[in-house]
Amino acid sequence: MSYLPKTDRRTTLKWLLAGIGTTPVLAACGAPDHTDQPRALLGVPKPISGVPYGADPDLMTPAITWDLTLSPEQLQLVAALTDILLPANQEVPAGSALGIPDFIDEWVSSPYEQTQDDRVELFALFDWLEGEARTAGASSFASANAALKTEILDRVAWKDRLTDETRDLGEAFDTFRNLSVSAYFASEAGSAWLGYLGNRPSMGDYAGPTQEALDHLDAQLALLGLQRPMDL
Amino acid sequence: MADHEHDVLVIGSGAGGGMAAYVLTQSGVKVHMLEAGRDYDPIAETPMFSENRDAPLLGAGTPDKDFGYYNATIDGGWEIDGEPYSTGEDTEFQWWRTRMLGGRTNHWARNSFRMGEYDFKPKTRDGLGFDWPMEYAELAPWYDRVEKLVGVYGVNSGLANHPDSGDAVLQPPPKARVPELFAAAAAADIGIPCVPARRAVLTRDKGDGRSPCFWATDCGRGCNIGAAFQTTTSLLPWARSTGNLTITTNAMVYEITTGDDGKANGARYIDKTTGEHKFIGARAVVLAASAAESARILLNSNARDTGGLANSSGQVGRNLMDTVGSGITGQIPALENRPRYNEDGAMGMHVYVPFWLYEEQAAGQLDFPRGYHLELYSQFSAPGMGSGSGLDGYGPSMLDSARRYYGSFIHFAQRGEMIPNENCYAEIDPDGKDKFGIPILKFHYKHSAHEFAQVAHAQQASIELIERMGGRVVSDVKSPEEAIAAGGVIIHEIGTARMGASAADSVTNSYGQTWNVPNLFILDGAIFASKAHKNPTLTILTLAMRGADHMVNEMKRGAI
Repeated sequence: MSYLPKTDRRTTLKWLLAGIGTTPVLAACGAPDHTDQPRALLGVPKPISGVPYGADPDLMTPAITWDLTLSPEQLQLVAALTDILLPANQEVPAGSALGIPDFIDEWVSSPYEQTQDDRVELFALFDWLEGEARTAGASSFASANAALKTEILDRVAWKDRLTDETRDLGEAFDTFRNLSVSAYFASEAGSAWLGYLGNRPSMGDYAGPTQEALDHLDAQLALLGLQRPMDL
Repeated sequence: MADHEHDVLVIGSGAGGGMAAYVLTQSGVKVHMLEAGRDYDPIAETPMFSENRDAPLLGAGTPDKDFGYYNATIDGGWEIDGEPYSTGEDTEFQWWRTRMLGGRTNHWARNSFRMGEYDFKPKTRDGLGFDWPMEYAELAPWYDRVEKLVGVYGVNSGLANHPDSGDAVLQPPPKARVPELFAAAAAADIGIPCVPARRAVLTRDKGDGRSPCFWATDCGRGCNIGAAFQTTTSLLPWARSTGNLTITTNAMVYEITTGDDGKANGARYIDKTTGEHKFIGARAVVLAASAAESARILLNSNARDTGGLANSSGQVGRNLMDTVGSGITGQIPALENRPRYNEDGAMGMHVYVPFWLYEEQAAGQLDFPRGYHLELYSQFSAPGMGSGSGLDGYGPSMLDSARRYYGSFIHFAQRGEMIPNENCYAEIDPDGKDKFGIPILKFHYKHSAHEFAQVAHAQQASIELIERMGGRVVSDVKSPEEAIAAGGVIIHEIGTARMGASAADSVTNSYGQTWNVPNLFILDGAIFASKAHKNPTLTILTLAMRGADHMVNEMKRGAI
């Protein structure tokens, strides 16, 4: 089943509607983006368009001030990749169901120097994954069977298995993993599964650690021959 | 007589300017404040509770918003479009500016440590740097007044050179969180103190319109309930309520003018909304534009050919200092998979490690002359960009690792005293102007062996703490020369118009009153004579309160 971009607020707000001035993008990004050259394997990504959100964006109504640029083929590959990286469990849907591919698209499409560096790095990773899948006889990485996908991925996903040949790809996968996992845990379901319980106001004094948390701490301290200070 | 309706012009609306305006207006003095940035309403503009997932790029920092999308900094950061600064050869210096009403007080860490008796007489103690023209005892009651007014949590720990506050001055600190209790247990075992931090965050209702902390949302975003101190929810509205304060925003001051009598009589600025050059007159002027910007204004002022205004000592722009910063991160297996609870607390530190080796230092047992403290950071923080860093592999086992490690990292940040040296200063760059046509600053900066030796000690102490916690260091332990934060990076720059005992070698007296121009007061970090390891904002507020009070008295007796 192919990936359909999620139509949430983050991706439907267009920079043209944001009423933000038009600083030329290339001035912000430096050299022209050679990654927008036609790609035989994964279609042609759109050129970067839009503007940085500036030093005084509306913090109460966040808006993305650039267009998404991944080609349909790239987006399908990213969706497949996020689902291997972030499979569904009983509490959290898979990466694609959380809209992680849209976030990757948002990131690599944004007009900042660092994200444009990531764009170059990640596009090379995407091309390599696609090429390896086709060499192995699949029609695309996205449509390859699970065994082939993991066989390919295993060559770049583990830090201690990288070779001089795969090191750059491994670093690109690390970038992809950091972006995807960050977005995963920042999602409502991912945050709940991680166990973040903050961002909730409470009146009176700060409650501090629960008894369960203190019991766990005391047990750990005892193993190290330490004692919990009672005046803090 | 005067062609203006106000008495005093205050340049800058941050800690120094905000406090000066508050004290002056409370005393019935008419004040006109000029702020280079735009107006800012924290009630309407603070993104309390907003989720990282709703911000562009998960709220990650960008060159537009260095500290993240939701950070309160507006029109500021390390670089400002059209407002460059330059650096000398072999200098790495970064200049943080926040161009908005309230300045950096909208987003500061709120860490509020008093300077102590040693800190005011460093030269007497070890022969280096310069003494302040006052004792701690002179400033102690003013610290009490400031802490009471702004609201600071903490306790009196009774430690050397970490002064106790007066009775009923401090508000109760929040309970320590698990990693803080863990670090404190390890510290106690190896003989290092770990005590409640002091932060300008209300934990009690003071009945002044602000609310106590409700234990959520990052203070760096600003605080629309007023719990985390910033001038825009406190000193400025309080000053305005007297009817004695007028504020003009988008007013980029570039010159303080003087009359034939040598006294300050106003300031010239550019109205950023129209580009017009304007003049505003005054009976007296308070300069509080931030240490480097204040030096820039003085150096660009009408006596430029003699080295700037109020600069017969030649010290304007000199003695530039920033806090010595470095950091070590550890991972603590004992904190893996620990029981979850709401660990936001007051967001910033609840406990910290104050400097503990003054006796050893005085006895010559250490190879560095001045102190540092360790700020410690570890908690179940809000997921966002970076929550996926440091992982390996993919799929369920990778996600399980991420969950196991969540809340098990601890970062120790060294914040240390720097000693002024002749290689650290700001001057006007003869070759550079900003988009307004105002000559820009050129920074020169070089740490000395004192700072490097201190970094090495702090690194070792941090490693010792991590190891006693059964942890492993996960950050690169670099050489002190590589580990030390570049000048300006800790955003505690001070010293560029230092106070002193005489006009020969200082710019102001202990009240921030310039020796050369008696109706010109400098009331920001520029007047510090030394850079104690204590974060400077509390002392800026205190010097500004005392200086503005003196100004009122001088006005009353007709001396100004």
